Amino acid sequence: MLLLAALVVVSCVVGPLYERAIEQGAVRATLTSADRISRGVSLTLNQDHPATAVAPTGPAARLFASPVAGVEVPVGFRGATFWRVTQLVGRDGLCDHLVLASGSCPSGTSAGVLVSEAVARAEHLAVGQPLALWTPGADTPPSPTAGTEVDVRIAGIYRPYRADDDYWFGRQYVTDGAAPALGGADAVLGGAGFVRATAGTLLDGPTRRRPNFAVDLPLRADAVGVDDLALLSATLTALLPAGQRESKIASATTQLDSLIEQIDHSRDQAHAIVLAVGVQLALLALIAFGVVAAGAADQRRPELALARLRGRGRARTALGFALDVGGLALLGLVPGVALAWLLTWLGCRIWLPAGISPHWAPLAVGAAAASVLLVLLLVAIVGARAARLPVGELLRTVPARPRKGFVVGIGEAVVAAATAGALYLTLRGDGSSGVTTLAPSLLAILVGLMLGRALVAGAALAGTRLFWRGRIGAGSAALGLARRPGARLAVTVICAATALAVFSVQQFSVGSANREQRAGVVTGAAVTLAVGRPASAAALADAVHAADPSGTYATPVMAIYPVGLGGRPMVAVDPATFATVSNWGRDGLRPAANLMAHLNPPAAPPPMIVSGDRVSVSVAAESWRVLAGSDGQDGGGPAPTVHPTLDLHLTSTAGATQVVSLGPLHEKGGAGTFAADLPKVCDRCRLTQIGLGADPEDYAAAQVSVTITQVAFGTGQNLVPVDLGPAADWQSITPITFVPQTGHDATGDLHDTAAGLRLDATDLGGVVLLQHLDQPVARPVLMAGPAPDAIDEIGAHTTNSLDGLATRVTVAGTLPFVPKYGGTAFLVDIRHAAATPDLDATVTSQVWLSRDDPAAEAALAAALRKDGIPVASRATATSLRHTYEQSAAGWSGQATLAVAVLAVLLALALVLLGVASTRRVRQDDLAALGLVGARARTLRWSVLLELLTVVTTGLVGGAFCGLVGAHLALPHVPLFAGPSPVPLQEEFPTDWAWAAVALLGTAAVLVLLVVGAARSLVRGAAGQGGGER
Amino acid sequence: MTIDFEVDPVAAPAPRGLGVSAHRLVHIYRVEGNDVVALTSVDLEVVPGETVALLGPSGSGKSTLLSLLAGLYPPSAGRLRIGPHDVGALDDGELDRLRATSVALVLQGARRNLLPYATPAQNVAFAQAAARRYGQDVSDPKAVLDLVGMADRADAALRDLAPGQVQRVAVAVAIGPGPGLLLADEPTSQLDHQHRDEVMDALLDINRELGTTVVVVTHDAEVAARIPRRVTIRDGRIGSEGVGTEELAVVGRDGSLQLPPHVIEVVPPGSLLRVHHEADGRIVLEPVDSAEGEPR
Repeated sequence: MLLLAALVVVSCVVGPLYERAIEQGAVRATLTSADRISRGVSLTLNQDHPATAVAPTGPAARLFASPVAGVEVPVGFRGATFWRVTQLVGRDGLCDHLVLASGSCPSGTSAGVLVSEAVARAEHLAVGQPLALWTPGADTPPSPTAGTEVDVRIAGIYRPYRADDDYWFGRQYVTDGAAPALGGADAVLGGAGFVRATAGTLLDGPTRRRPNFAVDLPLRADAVGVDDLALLSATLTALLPAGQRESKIASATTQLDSLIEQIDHSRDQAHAIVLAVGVQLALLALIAFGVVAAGAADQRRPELALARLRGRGRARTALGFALDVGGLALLGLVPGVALAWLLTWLGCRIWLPAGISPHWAPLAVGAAAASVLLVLLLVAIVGARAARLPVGELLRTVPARPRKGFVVGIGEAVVAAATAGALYLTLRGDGSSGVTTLAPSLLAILVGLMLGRALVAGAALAGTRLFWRGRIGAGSAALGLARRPGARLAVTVICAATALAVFSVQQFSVGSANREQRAGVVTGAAVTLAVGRPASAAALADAVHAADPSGTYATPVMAIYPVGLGGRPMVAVDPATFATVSNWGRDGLRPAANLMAHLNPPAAPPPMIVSGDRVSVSVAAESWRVLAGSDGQDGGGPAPTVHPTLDLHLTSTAGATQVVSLGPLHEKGGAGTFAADLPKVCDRCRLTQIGLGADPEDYAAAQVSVTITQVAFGTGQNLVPVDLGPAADWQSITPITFVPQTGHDATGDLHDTAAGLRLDATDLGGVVLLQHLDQPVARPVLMAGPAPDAIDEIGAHTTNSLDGLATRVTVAGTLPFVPKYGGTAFLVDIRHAAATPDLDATVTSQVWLSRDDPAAEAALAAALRKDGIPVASRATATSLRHTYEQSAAGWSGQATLAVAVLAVLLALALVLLGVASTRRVRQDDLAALGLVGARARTLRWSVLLELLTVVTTGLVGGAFCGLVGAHLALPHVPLFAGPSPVPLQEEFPTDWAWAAVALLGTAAVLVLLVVGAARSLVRGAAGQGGGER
Repeated sequence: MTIDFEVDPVAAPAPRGLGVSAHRLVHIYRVEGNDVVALTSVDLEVVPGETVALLGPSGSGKSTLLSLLAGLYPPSAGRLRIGPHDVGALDDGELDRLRATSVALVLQGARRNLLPYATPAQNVAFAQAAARRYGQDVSDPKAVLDLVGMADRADAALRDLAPGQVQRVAVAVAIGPGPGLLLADEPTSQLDHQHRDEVMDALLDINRELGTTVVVVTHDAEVAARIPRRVTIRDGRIGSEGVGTEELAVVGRDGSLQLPPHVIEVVPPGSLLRVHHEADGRIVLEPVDSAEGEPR
């Protein structure tokens, strides 16, 4: 009883204890994973105030590290070559947080400043050198022509510092837009007093620029506990300008409020899952305790009978039983509480972030008290029921015959109603995750109760018949099962424990599988390497292919987020390897090879490569006419003039484009040759487009027809003709625009003629352009997500290619998502993802790997480095999955495994204690059977059959309920802290392997116990004289 | 053949014992949906301080009568008085008090009366607890054990006691609270002669020294022979009685006559007897040939 009472206390207390720990873990994980700037608070002040004037005080003060006040004044200085614009920065305690390469740190109000190593090197600055700084003027940047001059002396040169600590608070200062040094800044740093004084002059001066008075409040993430969240929220509210009576604070910048929301969401998840599972475990434990207590009452029946016989009333007899058994149960409080604490501590050490330990929150204390009260109440109820029996009934030495029939009691009715309600809410999807998590256990308890009833009723019927047929062993087993008061509830407990075990492992397995899938899809692949900028997209593709000729391990991925179109990224991949290497979560979602093949552009004619500084175009049969009604020229007025020109568009190898206009055509009339110098000398430029241009004053609409007989490029008079190819190598396009085109203002076509290509065009004021198809007019893409609204006359969308230039794309197929890039993206062939080799500055370059293989990765990295593509960083799906597991949902899933083990232990304890508490009665029965000639083997079989029937019935019912419950409830149990950035539907397959492990594990433990019990009982009966040896 | 009856005066009752008066006592209990009449109109008078043996075959109603006398449950019909208490009119609490202070039952099988983990003294104290709560003066457990000759084994473990000793301890537990009526169900079963005699000695000593009314159910003729009065119960009815070495017929309240077994062999049920009331007070019963009306 002591053991079981302790288990009851453990079951009731471990849920609230661990749930509290998970809450604290969620606080710790959320705050520490956020960067310091996000979790801290940066205050911009109206004026210069000391940090202590605005920093939180009172209990909230301990939640923040020391506040740092600073002033930033925009300044400029003349550098060696260029005018530099930067910040003059003063922060309290500056000198303690810098490492100087030379010189000394200024302090107070001295006019000494520090410059960074990078700036000193670039501008040839040295310690001791004077420096003139200018503050900004009214509406002008800092310069000598506006603003105020501030003369300083360079007191020292500082080394780069890490800006991501509590002091610098992520403040990085950039000079002239150059990329900052690693963690460092290029600001001019001065003593706080000096900078404040300078800021004062700025405020007093004729300028609209204001210095930035700031106070940074770093949050001490490790000091924030669950109980501090309310205080933190209140503190944030008080820091906002609206909360300030004197409005010292102009603005507050922080992500702490959204982080607190995330924490609250995680806490809700923990409440729902852990407490629900804890309630199930507690319920199971209480039922098990009730069964054993009833067994204890049955075993003490003779003593209860004697007490009643000797005149003790029902109440006193029950009280005697309660004091006796309840006293043992009360002793279980201490070990139970200790064990619960220990288990929680172990869970914290194994699963939760470092530094999290069990905490006795009111809920846990209340649960401990409630568990003891419930145990005592159960003991009192059992004792009262036993003592209430008539004395004659208590004195019976032969158990009463079991009642016939299948009668549903009040308890079963209550459980049935609760189960029906929980299942109804679960199926409708209306229930909270707590209710749905309870549904499998309630179902198992109900099924267990029904199975127990049916088993007892069936055993009663079968027992007598078996005896009549001479089947002593089986008959004895059946009758014993029918008459044992705890058999029915033992089936219920085993059923519920098995169901909880099966459900728990299913939850764990499903959660793990889904977290692994999401981690893989959100990362993109098993490993993603960020690499340095390659020479071109094709260079990266070639390097990866050379490093991995098989195409099954590595694949190149480049991406750009274009302007407009809602930020739909353009992701350039190798169609042959991307689908294989990247992670799609499930094989069914992986695109087929023939779909990826749609990314291959159609066959293209070779490009027209030209060089030189001059071009000539020979034309023939030119004509034009003005269209009636165009541009208000009807009825009367002089005929408009048309001055069409022939425009040739050239693109350099660097991607720069130039347009050379030849004409106007009408000057020659009929036929002629036009020549012009190129704006820039071309070395291996591509002739990309031919267009019909118009004079800016020419707003008439016209039809033009001109035959191009020759185009030649060269230098000076040495012009080499260029073959324009057939008309099929050209396509009419409109200029690329991100605004939808509602009409066609100009059309043009090229036709093959004997003399050359004839251009026929109708120009209503737009631009006639014909593009050579060495570069596709529209690149084929695979699209994830809904189609953009903007679509042009050829059914193409406009976006940015990897060179940053606008490009057209046509959708050749659709995808459910693109790994890493989400549900809205374009996928394009990496070798045809840009018109020019130049890559835009914002393009990200990566190599994805299909498996985490350090040796293979090292070899690949070495090969890429040889090609001038270094690996900068790596991310793995495994680390992301670990991050997912470090969440309330993840920890709750892990906790359910521990719950499964506890549930099995409870079932084990129940069987063990149930057999022990009925040992005397069983041995008497066996001894009596032995006396009438039943053999030891028969007696052993009798015990085994009885106990195995109970265990097997419970196991089968529990397995069924666990699987059904998992199928119903798991879709409603949160597996993640938040939604997926990639639209990957969660899956809830039945993990038969894990279910079998749980079932067989539980069965093995129980069967071993049953076999041992049978042997022991028969041996004991033989000692009493029963059973042949 | 004549059957003579003589009426002898009954010994004067001891002051502590409780008398028993059962009038037309009936008890019916239900077994698997059937009503079983265990006692049919039992009339029994036991004088306070008397020792009575209750004999009868299995299923005759002895144990049922004993259970009613012990106040385990009320009779289905009839009147039963134990001392001043009308048992049929008592509620559960009053029955508990009755069992705690006035009536004690020694169950068949000595160990059924004892807490197996307690010593004889602790068992007596356990039995006295309820009586003490009702304010009854109870003797020291060792003094109670001394009455049955077990004072020197007061603190021994029960498993170390001989069967007769265990039975005597069971008797001591029953009389621990000082009841006026002691009921013993087969107190000498499964005992050898020596232990049987020890137990009977103890019971008779209790009656003699304390004046406790003692009713003993027994199959053992030798045990019954030691008890002054023997009542036979048969088929739920009181049969003949024996006092000393004599078997006496019992006249029931309804005028029926319960004859001793050896007489029933001679005049089987249904026989006609002519009754002669002699001048000297003797009642002479003369069997009559039913066909001719002539004496046989």
